[in-house]
Amino acid sequence: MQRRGGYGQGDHLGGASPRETEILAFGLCNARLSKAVEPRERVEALFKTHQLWSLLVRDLASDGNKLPSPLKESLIGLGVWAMNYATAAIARDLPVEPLIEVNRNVADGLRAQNQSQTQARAKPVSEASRPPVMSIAARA
Amino acid sequence: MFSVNTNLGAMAALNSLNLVEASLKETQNAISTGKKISSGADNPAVYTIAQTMQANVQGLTAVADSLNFGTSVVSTAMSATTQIGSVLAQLKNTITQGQQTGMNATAMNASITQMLANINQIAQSATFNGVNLTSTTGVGATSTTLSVVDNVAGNVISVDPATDAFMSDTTGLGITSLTVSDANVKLSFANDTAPVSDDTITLTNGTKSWTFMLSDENSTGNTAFANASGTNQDNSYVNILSTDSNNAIMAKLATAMQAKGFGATTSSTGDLIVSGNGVIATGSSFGFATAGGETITSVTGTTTAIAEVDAAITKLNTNAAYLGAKQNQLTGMSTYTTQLSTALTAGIGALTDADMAAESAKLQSLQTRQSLAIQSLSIANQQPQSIMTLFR
Repeated sequence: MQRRGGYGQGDHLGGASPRETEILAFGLCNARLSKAVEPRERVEALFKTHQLWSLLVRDLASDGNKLPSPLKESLIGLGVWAMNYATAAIARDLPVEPLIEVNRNVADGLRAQNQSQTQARAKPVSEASRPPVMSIAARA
Repeated sequence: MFSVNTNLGAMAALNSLNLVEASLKETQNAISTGKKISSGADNPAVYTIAQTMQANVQGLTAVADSLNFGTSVVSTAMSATTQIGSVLAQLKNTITQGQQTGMNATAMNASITQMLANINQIAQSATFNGVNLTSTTGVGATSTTLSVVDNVAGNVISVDPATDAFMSDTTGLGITSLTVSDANVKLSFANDTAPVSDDTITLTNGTKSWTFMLSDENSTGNTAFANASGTNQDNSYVNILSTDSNNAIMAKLATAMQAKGFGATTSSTGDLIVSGNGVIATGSSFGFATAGGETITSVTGTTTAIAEVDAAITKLNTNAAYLGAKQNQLTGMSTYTTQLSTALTAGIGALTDADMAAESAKLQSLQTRQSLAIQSLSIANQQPQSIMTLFR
């Protein structure tokens, strides 16, 4: 991932912006979820996914989270679903695919932000960096 | 359709959004629940999270974290007990076949030792974030118990197999030094044996003794007897009825001995084969008011080894049932948090049933993706650094 300076967001860890950090976190969760073979790896991946959403929901519900309310509501709803699903999946062996897809869609939303902001300052989005959903559109 | 045409960046985002719409339609077709979820474009007027609701979300999240942690720990332990169950079955099979084929004791004991090591390895590695519910010597474990906060009022579900059931390592299962050469003891009653209340049976390993008192008295005397236990003397009582047959008393004794970690199995000839805890015949005795033909003798060989493995299987099953019941309890509590979250996040109730609403969640995530794409903020914009702590 391209590392770049901040966007006026305050904290930047390891050179990544908060959005990049969140994209990275979703990516790491999805990598673990999709690669898990042993029951142990699966439980750990689901546990980590739960932790990620838990942190996000806590922040979304805290005073002063600056996202607009409808988006906040949607994300809290998704987060509560993801947490419940992760716990149920650990106990009852449900497929992890729905969680992967939800994580990917949210990360793609964050990535689209990145692209639009990068582009605003530099050159147009290249074909290669467009989100995977392009292929779906091509079929449609 | 969004109307965004202010700058190049927004145009790029719009381009991406139009493409998302195509996949939204696909997902919408997959929805069979009939529940309508409003899109980002026609979302009803602003939904403000009230102060009390914020507090509830924080509390709910803490409960959800606790339940998820508990479920992860119990699930890890359950996987281990399943694996250990397979090894025990294999162990029993090896001994049975060795018996049938006349395999020599040395070779059989070597196989047994290897399988016992496997059991301990499985149990010791079943540690999840410092908690191990299957072994007291777990790798990286600092606890063998678990306390799960199960609601916003702070109620706790405790999981403590060492106290409530058994650990699943060889120590917990009572087969630490299992060999086909083990000397176990055989308790036999004769026709003239007539056990009555206050009669005792004592088992010893040469250092520690376990005394079981038959009792039809009230619990006051029983408690006093049990309280007389010391470091090397473990007293317990076995409630009997004056009408109990000798076989019935033998069965009750077996249950009491199993509760103390012994393997106790009634043989085909009606004798009680006792193993585990290093029990030896020398020093073990009956303390019967009216002595009859009852005897305690030493027995060895594959038959008693199988009895020990059977006792271990019984213990493991007890532990598996215990963990399963705890897991159900935790899952039941997840339903509680689901109901709570439905109340907290009105309008997205369709998302809260983990099983049924996966398609709805996917749809909602596509819509959220659209809304996020036109934001410049991160999701956790209050404490963005918290995310980094997850993957250190």
